[in-house]
Amino acid sequence: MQQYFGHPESPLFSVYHAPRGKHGGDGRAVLICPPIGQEYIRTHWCLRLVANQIARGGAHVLRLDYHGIGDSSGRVEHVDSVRVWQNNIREAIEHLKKISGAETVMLLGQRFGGTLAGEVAQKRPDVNSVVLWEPVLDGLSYLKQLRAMHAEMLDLWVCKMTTQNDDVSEEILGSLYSRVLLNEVEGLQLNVGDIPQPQLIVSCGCTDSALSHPEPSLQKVVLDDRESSWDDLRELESAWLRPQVSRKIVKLVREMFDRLERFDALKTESRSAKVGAGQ
Amino acid sequence: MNQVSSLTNSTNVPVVIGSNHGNDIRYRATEAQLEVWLSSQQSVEANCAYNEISSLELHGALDTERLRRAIDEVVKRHELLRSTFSDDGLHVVVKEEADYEFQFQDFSGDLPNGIDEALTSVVHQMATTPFNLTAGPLLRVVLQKISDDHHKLSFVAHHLILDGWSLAVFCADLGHFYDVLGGVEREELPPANRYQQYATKMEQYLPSDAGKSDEAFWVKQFRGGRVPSDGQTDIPVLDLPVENARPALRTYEARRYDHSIGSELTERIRKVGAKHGCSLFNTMLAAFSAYVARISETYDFCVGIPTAGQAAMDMPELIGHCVNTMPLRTKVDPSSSFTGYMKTCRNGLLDAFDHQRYSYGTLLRKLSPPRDPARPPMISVSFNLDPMIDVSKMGFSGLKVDPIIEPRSFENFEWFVNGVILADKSVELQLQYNCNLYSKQSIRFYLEGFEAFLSELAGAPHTRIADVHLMSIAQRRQVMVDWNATELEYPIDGTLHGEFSRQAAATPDRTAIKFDDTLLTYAEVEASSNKIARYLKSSGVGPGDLVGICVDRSERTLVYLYGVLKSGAGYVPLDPAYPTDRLQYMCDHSGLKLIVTEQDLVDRVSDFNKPHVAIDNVANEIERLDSGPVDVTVTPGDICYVIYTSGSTGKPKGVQVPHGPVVNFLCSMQQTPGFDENDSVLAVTTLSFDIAVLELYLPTVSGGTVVMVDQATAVDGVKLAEQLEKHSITVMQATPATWRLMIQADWNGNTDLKVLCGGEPMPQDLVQPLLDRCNQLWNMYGPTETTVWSAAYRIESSTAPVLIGKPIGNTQIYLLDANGREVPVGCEGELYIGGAGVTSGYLHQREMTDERFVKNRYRNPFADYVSDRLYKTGDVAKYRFDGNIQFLRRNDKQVKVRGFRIELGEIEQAIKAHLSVQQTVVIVREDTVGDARLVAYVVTKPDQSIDGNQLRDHVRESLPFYMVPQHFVELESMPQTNNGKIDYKALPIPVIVMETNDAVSNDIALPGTAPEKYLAGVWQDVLEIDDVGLNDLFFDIGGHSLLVMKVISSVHQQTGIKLGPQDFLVATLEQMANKISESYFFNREIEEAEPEPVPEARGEMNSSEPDAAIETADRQTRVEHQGVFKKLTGFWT
Repeated sequence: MQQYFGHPESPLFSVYHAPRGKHGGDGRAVLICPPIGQEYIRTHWCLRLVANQIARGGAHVLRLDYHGIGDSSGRVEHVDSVRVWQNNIREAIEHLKKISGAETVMLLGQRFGGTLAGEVAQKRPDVNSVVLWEPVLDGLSYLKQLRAMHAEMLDLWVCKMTTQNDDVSEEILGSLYSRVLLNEVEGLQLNVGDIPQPQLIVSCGCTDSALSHPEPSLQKVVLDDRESSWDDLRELESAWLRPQVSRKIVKLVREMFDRLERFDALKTESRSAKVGAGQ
Repeated sequence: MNQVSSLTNSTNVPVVIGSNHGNDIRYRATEAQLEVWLSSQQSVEANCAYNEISSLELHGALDTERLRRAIDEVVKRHELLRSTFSDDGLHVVVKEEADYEFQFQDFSGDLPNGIDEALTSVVHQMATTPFNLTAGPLLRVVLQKISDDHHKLSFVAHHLILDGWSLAVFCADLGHFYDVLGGVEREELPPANRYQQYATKMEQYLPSDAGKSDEAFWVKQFRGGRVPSDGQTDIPVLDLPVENARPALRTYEARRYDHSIGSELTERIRKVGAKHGCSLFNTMLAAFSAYVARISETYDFCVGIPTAGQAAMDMPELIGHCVNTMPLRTKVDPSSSFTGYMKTCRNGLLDAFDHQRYSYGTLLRKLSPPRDPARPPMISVSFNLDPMIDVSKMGFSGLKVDPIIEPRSFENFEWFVNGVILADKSVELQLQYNCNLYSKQSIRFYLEGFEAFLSELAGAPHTRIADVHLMSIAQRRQVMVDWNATELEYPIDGTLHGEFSRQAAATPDRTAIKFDDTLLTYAEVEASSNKIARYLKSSGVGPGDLVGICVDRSERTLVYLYGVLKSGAGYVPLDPAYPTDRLQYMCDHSGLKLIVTEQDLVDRVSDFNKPHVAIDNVANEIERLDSGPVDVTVTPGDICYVIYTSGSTGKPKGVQVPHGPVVNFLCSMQQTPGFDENDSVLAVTTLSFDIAVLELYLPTVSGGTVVMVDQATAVDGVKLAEQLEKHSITVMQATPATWRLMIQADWNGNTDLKVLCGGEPMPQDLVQPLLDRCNQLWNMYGPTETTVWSAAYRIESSTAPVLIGKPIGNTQIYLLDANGREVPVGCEGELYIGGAGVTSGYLHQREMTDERFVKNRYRNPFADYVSDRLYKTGDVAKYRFDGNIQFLRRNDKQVKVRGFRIELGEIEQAIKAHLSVQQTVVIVREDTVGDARLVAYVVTKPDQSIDGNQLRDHVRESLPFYMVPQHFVELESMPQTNNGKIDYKALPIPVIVMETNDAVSNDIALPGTAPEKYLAGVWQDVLEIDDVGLNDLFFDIGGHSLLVMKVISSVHQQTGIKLGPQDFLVATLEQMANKISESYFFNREIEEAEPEPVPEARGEMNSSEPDAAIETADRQTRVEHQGVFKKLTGFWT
């Protein structure tokens, strides 16, 4: 079901997948934070499938479009800070809690969406866990990779092409970003060890030390044995599909919910009661 | 010559008129044809269910050659009669040449006796020979010559090309051509309508505004106001009172029973309708629906109404499949008047007719309701009313013509009622019924009942529907009177102890009771009990008082009991093994005058703060008393005992049982199951359970012997078996649990033993083991409130259902509906008991007594029983047609899940069929409000184990999906109450016990093997979903019949293996994949197919400024936050 929410003048677009099956959504909710730019388009179908499957396992699932991306309002070149997108995620969390009745949500972020989700999670007790799917850990190398592809793409034309770049904005693979935003992204680093929630990290062959966590029992890393193709220009026009690892994730998400339930971590009261935190 | 056999080895070879394959016309079949085609693919039977057979009896000199040519002309005129269908059923293929099968049977000559049989057998053969839908022809004609001036012309066509309306057109055209070819002057026929044109119109109709509005109308009937996308449907299920158990996979085999509603009654009904602006059809339909609602106690259901597309499309000269069965949803309010309902029905009917073009099949696909393979989708009964074909304008000059609608041998619906209005204005109700579910006897019974129902309505149409009788007077007489004629002589003024004293005087030296190595003769029991009575009397005990008895089991028990009774008091058994709270409650509530006990138990008894006497402490005093009869007057209405039974809610209820009912009960038991002085009973039951009354008193008022066992023996199968053997016991009574205990203890049985089983429903699986181990096996039924047992049934076969039989002596049983009206045979009703066994109700609970002991409308004014009330048992039962009663369930255990009515016992049977299962109980738990779940508790056989998934698969094989429990909980043993009944309240909540085996929380098992993956891919393609699991059923995840055919053809093309449509109703992906796994195809690697990405339409971005999003509540410090998640340490381990 397609839904708009947020400020009426700058609404956010989302797709809601109602839960099916046994749990009937009792307290289980997942917010999907997609990648940005051309990766958003490539992964769209894949995330749709995953969302469907998770919903079928009994969770409420919401797929979000950030401001300036997809069907949400705004233009991407006007987005001047990652804070805008992080706030989109926060709003979506509230929205999802409202429509699902769940007290806490799981964030499933892919690529840069994982980076955003990881940042948001750190300050929200109502995020019960995170799934980071090939998250962008270092903003600078991410942009380097994208810029290299962009240049390579321009090289493929009959004569060398350039795209419009000025002081205010820069085009990368079909998206015009504000320089202010890109500067911020360049400085961005995600340290998963800072995320206090239980986490599932799907990584593509990389056993980066960046994935270490001070409390190892909170982290599970799944390796996707297919080669990463984010920097492969030939893949640019085709949908990014990973049926095997998708299924694995769906399965693990359900397992995470089961575990959260066992730890009584799907509700906020029980937790805030114990630590006296909260409002 | 044997005329019948001439059919099979006759010289009358069928003639197929040659067809020309050259210039066939093809066009798309209609949706309705497609639905018929799909259903026909289910099985040969399903295909034959669409064989439409009719006959014309032709009297007079028939020109057979001319008739043949006339048929040719008709087939030439109507293209569909010479059409077939493409392989996938999507196209109609019209043959240029007339193409049909023709047979001639000559039964003339020396007219044998078996002419009728021969004729019937021809029709039967026509009905059971399937058509080949692709090769054709789809029309067969048989001309049977009975004599020179008597022929019978029968034709059978597949329903794909002919319907009821077409039939009339066919006959009229045939008569016309017969005349014209014979030179008779006839007006020229109007041009025939073409089916292709009809098909085109229908194709255009569906996406049109009219089509959409019709769709919206029908969808709304079954989805209420909800948006379609949420996939929820609200399709009521009609539970007709089936006679036999419903097979897991529905069958089609059918018979027809015809019942005539006379012209006089029909006219009266017509007038009732006319007065309120309703047609005869409307009135009959309303009456029929109301009747069905009443007998099935289902007040919201669908009736199929066939409508003719020829009329709707204004194509009267069309032969083809244009009929549409509308699923008319009707809600019957039994408290409204019939005329009121009839008018509601009229409005519903008119609305439905406005939207009649939208086909049933299309609707089914639209709604894709969960399919129950045991039933037809949505519609179980269909009702139609048509005038008989008008022969006056038919032609056939010079012949007298009688049309006959022949019965089908297979039927889609459980009941298809076709009312035919005959020339004399009477209505012949031709009821095609599924003969695996019903016998002719039952259908005859219901139609007779329906006629009585109609007749009552004709006389008083404003009657509330709930108040109209469902049976004729003769039927009611049989059920209410004849089956309750149980008069039996018994001492109407007798008391229990009086009967014992009489017996003691007759057989003073016989053994009355044995315990261990001690025995007491009748004379000893008589003398000792007299002394005790005298002692009690001197302690102030007398008539009207209650005395508690709290003793360990021994031979003395019987003496105490008779002693108390002889003092004039009634007794209250206080089993020392019972929980103190409960005993305390019983003491307080009953207002005991005194407790009789023994020294060992004084400590326990003194807690109850009641006067008590330990008999052995005062033995010397008692011994000195006179042993002669005590002079106390006790009447049959005085209380003999008060027994506390657990109420389903709240505190136990004390049932006051007077002497009269006890005496009647014992006398009745002496007759059936039978007991005399040569018999002995092994008494195993606690006094607190009223069935102990049979064990202690039946022998001692008959001259027989009680062999009492102690409590430890009573729960030990091995010891019980020993006792049976040692004492040459002839009668033993116990609950199923105790019998099971003994069988498990390798008890070998005894060919002289009479086994009485009661106290809770007898499980089917116990029947054969018990039959193998005894002389007679009896199932006993009765509540404490009507004195121990009220019905008994001798079980002689383990395959027949276990019944509770017929009422015992001087007892009447009535099965009544929620409004207190008699239910017909075969229908569910609450069981009420009246007669000599009815007790005085609950002690100190007037209100509850009045609620459960109701006024007896059927009271025999000549009988002088203790109570003239009827006890309302809360048990649901039904009559078999032989007058035996079948217990179905407790009223309060009736469950409905997803709208399906579920019999828990049926699920238990299915689970028990598993080899490893010892015992099982299925209940509905609603641990979370609004979340009703079926939970099966299972005790496995020794040294066996079983997991939930295995059991689930096992159950799935025999039960529809909605009856498969959500949880399977394995228990060491079933919790039992003190009475040896299963303690339902003690059954644990499932999640706690079997977290790991709780199969519902399982992940979806994913396809693993190549065939599984392959098939999953095919399913995913057609269903447009992406996560098919191994345990998925096609229809559960959005499949419908059209898609079934897609999968079949896809699988067939690629693997060469042809799946049957029925597989889709019952087989999971995994099971289906097993079927195709042997294909050559799978010897090769299959690459995992990835779905093609489908780009989604992207909306345009607008240019508004990105909002500085609202900062939400995440201002906590990280430190606090981390604390919150600290307790999750160990999350992944």
